[in-house]
Amino acid sequence: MKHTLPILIRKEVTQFRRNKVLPRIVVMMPLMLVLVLPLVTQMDVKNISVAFIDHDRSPLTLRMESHLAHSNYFRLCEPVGSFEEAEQMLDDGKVDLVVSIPEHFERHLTLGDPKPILLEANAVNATKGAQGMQYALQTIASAAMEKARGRGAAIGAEQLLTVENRYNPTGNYRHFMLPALMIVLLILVCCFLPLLNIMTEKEHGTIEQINVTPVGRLEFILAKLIPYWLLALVLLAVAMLLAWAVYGLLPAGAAALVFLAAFLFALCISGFAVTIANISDTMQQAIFVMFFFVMFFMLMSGLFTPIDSMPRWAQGITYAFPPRYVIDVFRSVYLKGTLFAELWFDFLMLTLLAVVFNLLATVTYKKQS
Amino acid sequence: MTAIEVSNLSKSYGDVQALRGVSFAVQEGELFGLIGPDGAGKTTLFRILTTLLLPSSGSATVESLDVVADYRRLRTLVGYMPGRFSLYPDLTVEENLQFFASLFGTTIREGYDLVAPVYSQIEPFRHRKAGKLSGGMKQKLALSCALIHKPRVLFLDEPTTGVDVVSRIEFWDMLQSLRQQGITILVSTPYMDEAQRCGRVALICDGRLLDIDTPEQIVLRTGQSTFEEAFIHLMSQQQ
Amino acid sequence: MNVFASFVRKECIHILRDPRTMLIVLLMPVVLMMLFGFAISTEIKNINVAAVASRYTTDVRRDLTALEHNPYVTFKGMIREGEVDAALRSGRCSAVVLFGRDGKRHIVLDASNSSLSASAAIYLRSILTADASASALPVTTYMRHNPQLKSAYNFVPGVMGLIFILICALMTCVSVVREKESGTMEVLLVSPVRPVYVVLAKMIPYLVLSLFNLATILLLSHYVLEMPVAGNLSVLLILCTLYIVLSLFLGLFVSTLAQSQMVALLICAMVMLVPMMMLSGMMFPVENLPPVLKQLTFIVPARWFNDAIRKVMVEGLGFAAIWKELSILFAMALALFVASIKKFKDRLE
Repeated sequence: MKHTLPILIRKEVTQFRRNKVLPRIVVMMPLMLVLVLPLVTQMDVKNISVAFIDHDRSPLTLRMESHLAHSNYFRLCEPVGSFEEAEQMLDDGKVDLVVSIPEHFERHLTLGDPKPILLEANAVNATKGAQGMQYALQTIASAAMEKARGRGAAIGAEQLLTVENRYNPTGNYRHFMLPALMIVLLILVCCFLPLLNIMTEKEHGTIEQINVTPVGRLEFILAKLIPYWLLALVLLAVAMLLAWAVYGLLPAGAAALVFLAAFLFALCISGFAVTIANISDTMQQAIFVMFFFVMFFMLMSGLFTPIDSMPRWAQGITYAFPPRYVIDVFRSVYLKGTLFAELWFDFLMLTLLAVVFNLLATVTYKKQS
Repeated sequence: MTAIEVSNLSKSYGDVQALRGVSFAVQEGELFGLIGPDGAGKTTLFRILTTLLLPSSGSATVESLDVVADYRRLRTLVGYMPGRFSLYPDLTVEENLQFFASLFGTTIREGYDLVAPVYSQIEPFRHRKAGKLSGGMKQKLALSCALIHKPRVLFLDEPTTGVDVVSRIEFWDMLQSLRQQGITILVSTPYMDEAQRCGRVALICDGRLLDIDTPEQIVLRTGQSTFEEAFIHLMSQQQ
Repeated sequence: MNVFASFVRKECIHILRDPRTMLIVLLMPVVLMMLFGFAISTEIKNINVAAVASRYTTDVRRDLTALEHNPYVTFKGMIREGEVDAALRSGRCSAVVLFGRDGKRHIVLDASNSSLSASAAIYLRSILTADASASALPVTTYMRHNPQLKSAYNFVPGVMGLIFILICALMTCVSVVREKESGTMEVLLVSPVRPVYVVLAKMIPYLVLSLFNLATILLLSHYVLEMPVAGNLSVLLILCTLYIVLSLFLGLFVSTLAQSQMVALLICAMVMLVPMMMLSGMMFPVENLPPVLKQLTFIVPARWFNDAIRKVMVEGLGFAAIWKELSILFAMALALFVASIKKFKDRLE
C-alpha cells in the first residue's frame, strides 16, 4: 500500500508522454510565452500616425513639426493638402491624429490674437485617443516654449521639474509584462491540464474503476497533481532562463520568492481545478466553467490594467483572486527587488486561498460520491 | 444464398497485423459466431464489414455489395452494434430510439414489430436517460437501435461483454428469434459457452481463422470433450 | 429534411440537458460587458502619490492641495526622504514628489509599469506646472466618434469578437469530437445519412444561441452602456452572422483534425483563442505589433471582424466601407468549409 503513490505517478507520467499533442504543447508554451506574448501585450501608446497640416509654415510651426517627427510616440505621414482629406484618412484608420495650423499663426500669436490650432484624434479607442492627444499637446507646447526661451522669455517652471524613472529606467513595458505573463504558464499547467485529465477519466469511466480498488482517493488525486506541480515549476525555470537569455531580465530580488509564490499559486489553482472537475459531468461543462473563471482572473488581477484604476467595489472582489497576489510578487521581485518582509500580505493571502480552495475540493469530492 | 462473403482479407495498422488473410462465407438467415480472445482481430473485421475501415488487401461483400465500392448502399442494409456502449447518455430511451429511427428515414412505429420483443422489456423505462440504465438494459436499447430500420444483416460486436448471466441468456434467446425472422446475424464473443448457441462459428486468433464449422463438429473433430478445450487445442496446434 | 430536423432536435436536447453550460454561454457576454463597462478601465486612474517636503512654502502648499484634489491622483500623505525607496518598492505608492528647498521639484516614479509611469508623469507634470504651462497656446481639440471618451466604444466590438469565437468554435468542435470519443460517431457513420449533414445540424442550435447573445450584447450596449449602434443595423447583422458562421466552420475544421476532446480543446485554445485575443486588435492595438506579427494578423478572422464592426458600430459607416472586410471573411468561411468537407472522413481512418 505504501508504494501506490509512486506507481500512480509513474502511470500519469507515462500517459502524458504517450500523448501525441501534450508534450509538444508543453515545449511550445514557454517559448511562445517569452518570445511572442511580450511583443503583443504592449499597452503603452506608440506609433501614433499624425497628419500635420501647416498653413503657416513659420519657424515656430516648423519647429513643432520637427518635434513631432522626432518624438518616439509619433509617426508623421505624407503631407496632406486639406483638412477634409485628413478627416477622411482619420475615418479610414490611416492616421490617428490630425494637427492643423491656421494661416499666419505665429504672427497672430505674437500680436496676441491667434486663431487656434486644431487637433482631432480618432477616439474609438478612448485611451489611445486621449493619450495621443495629451502627448501631442505637450509636444507642441514644448516646441513653443523652446522657441520662446530662445527669445529670452522667462524660464518656464518646466525646467524646475525633474523626473526620475526608478526600477525600469528605459521604460521597457516588456520587462513589466514578462514576469506577470509567466502565470499563464502556471494556469495552463496546473489548472487546465489536470482538469482535462480528470474529466477524460471521468467520461471514460476509469475513475469509477479506480474507486473500487483499494487506492485512496487522496492518493489518486495527488498522483495526478504532483507531476503537474513539478512540470509547472520546471517550465517556470525554463521561462525565466529564456527571459534572461532573450531580454537580459533577471529577478532583482530573491528568485526563491518567485518559486515560493509560484508553488503556493499552483496549490490554489489545482485545488480549484479539482473542485470544478468534481462538480462537472462532462468535459464541455467543466471547460466552460473554467474558462469563465479564468477570464475573470485574467481581466481583474491587474495583468493588463492596474487594479488601482478600478472602482472600489471591483477592487474588493479582486482580493479573492489568487493571480492578483502572485502577479504582484512576480513583478515586485523581478523589477524592484522587493523583500519578503514587504510582501508578507501577498504570501499570507496565497496560503489562505490555497487552504480554502483545497478544502473546497475535498468537500465537493465527498459530496460527489 | 450467401449474405456475407469474405475472401483473403488482411488489415494492418503500421507494423501491427490485425487480420492475416481471412476468408469465410455466411449464408442468409444464419446466426454466425466469431469466437476469439481479446485482440484477435474481431473488431477490425467488424469494422471492415460495416464499411468503417478499408481493408489493406482482399475483398468482402455483404448482401452482394462490395464493402469498399458500394459502401453507401450497404449502409442502408446493415445494423451495427459496436462493442462499447454507443448511445447518447443524456437522451432518454425513447429519444435515442427515435433518433436512430429517423437516421434511417423511418419511425418507431414502422419498425416496432421487429424490435418489440427487445424493446418491450425496456419500454417501461422509456423516459429514463440512457446513461442511467443498467448494463443489460443498455445492451437491449443498443440492440433496439440497431434493429429499428429492419436491417438485412446484423453485426453485433461483443454484445454481452460486461452483462450479467441472466441478461446474457435472455440476449441470446432474442438473437435466436431474430434469426427465425430471416435476419442474418454475425456476432462476436470472447465467451466460449456462448459459442454453442450459434449455428456455425469461426475461431479467430492473432488475425487468422483457426477453424469454421458447427460447434459440435469442432468438438468432435478435435477429439476434446468441451468446446473450450477444443479451442485451446486448436490454438496450441497453430503455434 | 425530416432527418435534418431530428438531428437539430437531438442537439437542442443535448444543450438543454446541460443547463450549467448553457447558463455560462448566455451569461458570459453579460458579465464581460459589465466587467469592461464598470470594473476594468484601460484609463489610468487613482495613482498613489506621496510627497516629501522640508519647508512648506506657499508654492509647496498650493501644489499639495492640487495633488489632493486631482481626480486622477490619490494622495497618500507626506513621508520622510529616507522612506522613498521603501514606499515605491513595497508598492504603497507609484510616485513620490520631492519638493526641494530651492523651489525645484523632483518626481520619482516606480517605472516598473512603464505605461502607468508615463501617464503619471503626464498627470503630475500638468498638476505641478499648472500656471506656468504653455496653456497660452491656443488649441482646439476634437475627439472624433467618441467625444465623451467612453471605453465602451473600444471593448464592445472586442467582446463580440471573443464571445462568438468562444461559443461557436469551441462548442461545436467539442460536441463533434465527443461523438468520436464516446463511439456514437461509429454508429452515425454506419447509417445512410451523410456525416457532413450530421455536423451541419450541430451548428444550428449554436447559431441560434449566438444570435441570442448578439441581441443581448446590442441591447446592453444601447441601454446600459449608452452606446447605440451608429451605423445601419442590417449591415451590422449581416457582418455578425457572417462572422458567427465563420466561427462555426472553424470549430468544424478543428473537429475534423482532433480525435479527443482534450486535443480539440487544446488546439482551440492554442491555435484559436490566444491568437484571436492577442492579434485581433481588440486588446492590443495592431499598429503596436512588430512587423512579423502584423503580417500574421492578416490571417486572423477576428482582426477583420474587429475593423469592420468598429466602422459600422462606432463610426457609423455603411456597407461601402466594409466590403473589403466582408469579402475577406466570406472567403475565409468558404475556405474553411471546403477544407473541412474535404477532411471529413466517411470512415474511421
